[in-house]
Amino acid sequence: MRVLVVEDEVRLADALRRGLQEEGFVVDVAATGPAGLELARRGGYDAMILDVMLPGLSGYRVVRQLRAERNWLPVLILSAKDGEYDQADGLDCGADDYLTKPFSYVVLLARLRALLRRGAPQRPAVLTAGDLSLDPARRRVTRADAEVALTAREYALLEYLMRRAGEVVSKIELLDHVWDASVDTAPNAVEVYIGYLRRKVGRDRLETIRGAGYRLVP
Amino acid sequence: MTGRRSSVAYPGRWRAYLRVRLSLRTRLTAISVLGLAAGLAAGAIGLTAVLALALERSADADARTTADAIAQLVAADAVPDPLPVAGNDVRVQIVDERGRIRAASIGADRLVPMLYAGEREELAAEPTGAVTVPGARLGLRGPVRVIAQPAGGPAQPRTVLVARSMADINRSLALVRVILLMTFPLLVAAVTVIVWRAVGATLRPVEKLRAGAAEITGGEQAGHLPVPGGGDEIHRLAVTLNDMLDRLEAARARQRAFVADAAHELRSPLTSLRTQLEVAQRLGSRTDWPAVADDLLADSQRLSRLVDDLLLLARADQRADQSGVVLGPVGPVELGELAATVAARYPRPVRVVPPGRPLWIAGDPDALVRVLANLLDNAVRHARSEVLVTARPAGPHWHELLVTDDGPGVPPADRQRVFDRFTRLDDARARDAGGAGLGLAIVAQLVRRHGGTVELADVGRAADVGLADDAAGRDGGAAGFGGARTGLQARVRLPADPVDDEPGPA
Repeated sequence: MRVLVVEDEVRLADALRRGLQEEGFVVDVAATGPAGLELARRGGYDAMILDVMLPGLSGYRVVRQLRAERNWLPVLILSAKDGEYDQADGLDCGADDYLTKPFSYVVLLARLRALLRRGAPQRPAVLTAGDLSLDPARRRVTRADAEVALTAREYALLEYLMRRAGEVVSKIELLDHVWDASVDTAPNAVEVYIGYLRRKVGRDRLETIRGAGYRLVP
Repeated sequence: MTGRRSSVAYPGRWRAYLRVRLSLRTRLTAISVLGLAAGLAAGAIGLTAVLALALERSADADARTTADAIAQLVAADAVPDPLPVAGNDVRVQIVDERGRIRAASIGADRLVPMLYAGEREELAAEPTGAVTVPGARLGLRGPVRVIAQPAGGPAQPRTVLVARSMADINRSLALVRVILLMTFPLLVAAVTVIVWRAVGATLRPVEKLRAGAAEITGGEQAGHLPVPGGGDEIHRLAVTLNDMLDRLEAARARQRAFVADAAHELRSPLTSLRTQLEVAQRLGSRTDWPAVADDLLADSQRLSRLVDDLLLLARADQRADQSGVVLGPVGPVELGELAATVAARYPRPVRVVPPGRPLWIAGDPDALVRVLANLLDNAVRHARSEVLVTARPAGPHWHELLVTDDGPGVPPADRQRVFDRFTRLDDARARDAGGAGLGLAIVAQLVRRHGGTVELADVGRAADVGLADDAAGRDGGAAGFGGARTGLQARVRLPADPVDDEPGPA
C-alpha cells in the first residue's frame, strides 16, 4: 500500500516515513501544500496523511481541491488544531478522518488501516444530482443555485434519496430510514412527502417505479 | 496598670464596634437626627429663656409705669386712698422711711410692708432692680416681683412699692414649655423618618452597584456594573469601575490568547518528539539510535528555546504600554562592539560595517544581544550568500542597527504582521523547522522597551530604502548586494545615550 505523507516538519515527516515503511507501506513525503497536491493528483496512492499548517497551501484547501477534482483519495488529517470547528471544518472539507497532535502512533496506524478498509468510493461532501445540490454540513439545498426551502422531513427524505441516487428505493426503506418507527405514521405519508418534494425539486427529478418504489434521477 | 490600659483601649473599641455594626444609612440618619435634635433642644431652651426674660422685663416695665404714676401723685400730694391699680394681680404700697404704710391699694396689707427692711435697703442701693418674693407673703399666687420707686421729697421721703404676681407669666411659660416638649419628639421622629428614607434612596444605587459587583465572577462573561442615571458621584464611580473592568477583561483576553497560542505552538515539537520515540520503539533494535538521539536533541532544544521565548514574552507582557521600560539592568552599550561580538558567533560569513565613531545607547546588554541574534538568525537562515550588519548614527538623537541579507524579501503587506507572535508567513522565507514565529515578536518587544523602533525594508534598489548620507555608505554598505535582485533589511532604531555621545562630524 502506498501512502503519501504531507508534513512540513522534517523530523516528524521522517519519523512517520520510517515507521510506516517498517509496517510495510511505501511512503512518499511532500513538505509543502502544492507539492502534496501535485503528488496526490498523479495518483497511485492508497491513502494520504495530511498536515493542515503547510506552506503554500493549507491542508484544508488541498483536500477541497482534490474533492473538487473528484479525486477520492482517502485522507487522514493530522493537525495541532484541536478546536471543535477546526475538526468539523477539516472533515466537512472532504477528509475522511482527523487526528490531533500530539497523537499516539499506534492509534495513527490503526486509523490508517481503518481508512484503507473503507476504500475509495465516490463520496462527495456535497451531494449533487443535475442542478440540484444538497450540502449536509450546512443543511442547504439549492436548485440551479437558488436556495430551496424544505421542511425537516422533506430534507431528510431528499438526503436519503440523493445518497441512494440512481437506485430504486422502496417505501418500506423510506419509512425505516426517514420516519421515526416509534411514532404512528399515516400509511400514505411517503407518497404525500414525495409529492411535496416533487413540487419543490421538479417532477422529473423523482421517478415512481410502479410496484418497487421511487428513484432519484442522478 | 490594667485599669489605665483598658480605659485607653475602650473608646477605640467602642468606635470600632459602632463602625462595624451600624450601616452607613443608620449612621447618617443618626448623625443628622441627633444634630437636629440637639439644635432644636438648644433652640427651645433659648426660646423659653428669652421669653421668660422678655415677659419679666415687660412686667417690670408695667410696674415701673404704675410706680411712676403713683410717685407723681405723691409729689403732687394728691394721693388717693386706696391707691388705684389696674388689675388684681398688682399691689401698691407707699412706705415711709420708717417702714410705716402711708397708703395702699385694695388688697394690699396696711400694716406690714411688702418688702422687709433688708430688701428695701437692697432696692434703695439699686433703685432700678426688683426683688422676687413668695406670693404667700402677699396672698398672691406664684412668685411676686416687687419694685421700689423713691417718691416724695427729702422732707417727706416715701417709697412706692409695686408688687406684681408672676403667676400668669409663669403659666404662659409653662404652656410654651409643654407645647415644645410635645412637639419636639414628634418633630424628631418625623425628621428621622424623612432622613432615613432620603439616605436610603441615595444609597440605593450603591447597593445596586454592590449587587452587580457580586455577580461579576470573572468567568466567561465580561460583567458590567449597572450605571445609575444622573451625573453624580455614584454615576461617575460606576462608569470608572466599568472602565476598569474593561481594562481587566482586555488584559485577561490578551493573556488567554497568549496561553492558547503558546499551548498550540508547543504541540509541534512535542508531537515530533513523541512520534520519533514511538517509531523508534516499534523498530526496536533496528533503530538507528544515534540518529534518533540527534533528532530528539534538536527537537528538545527547539522546545526549550520556545519555552524560553514564551517566558520572556509573558514577563514582558505585564503592561499594555511597554515603551521605555527596560526589564533588565541598564548600562551603556556600544553598538559597534555589540555588532562585532554577536556576528562573530556565526560560522557563515557575516560582514560587519563598523560605525565611524563609538555609538552609545543605554540599555540591557543581554536584551540587545538577543535582538541582534534573532535578526541575524533570520538573516543567516534565508540569505543566499551574504549577510551584512551595520551600525550607524541616524540623526542627532538616534542610532541604527541594520541587518541585511540577500535572501527572498517580505511582501510589503506582511512587513508589519511578521512582528506579531506566532505569525509565520505562507512563503519560503518564514516557514521552516526552526522558527516558531516568536523571534521577531521578541525583537519587537525588546526594541520597544528600549524606546526604539524596528522595521523591515527591501534592498536591492537603494532608492526604495530611502537611506541617508553617512560614513557607512549610501546604502548602509549594501553595495555588495548590487547584484542581488532581492534582499531584506531589518532596521532597528534606538535612542542615543546623550551622556556618552560625542558631538562632531558623523
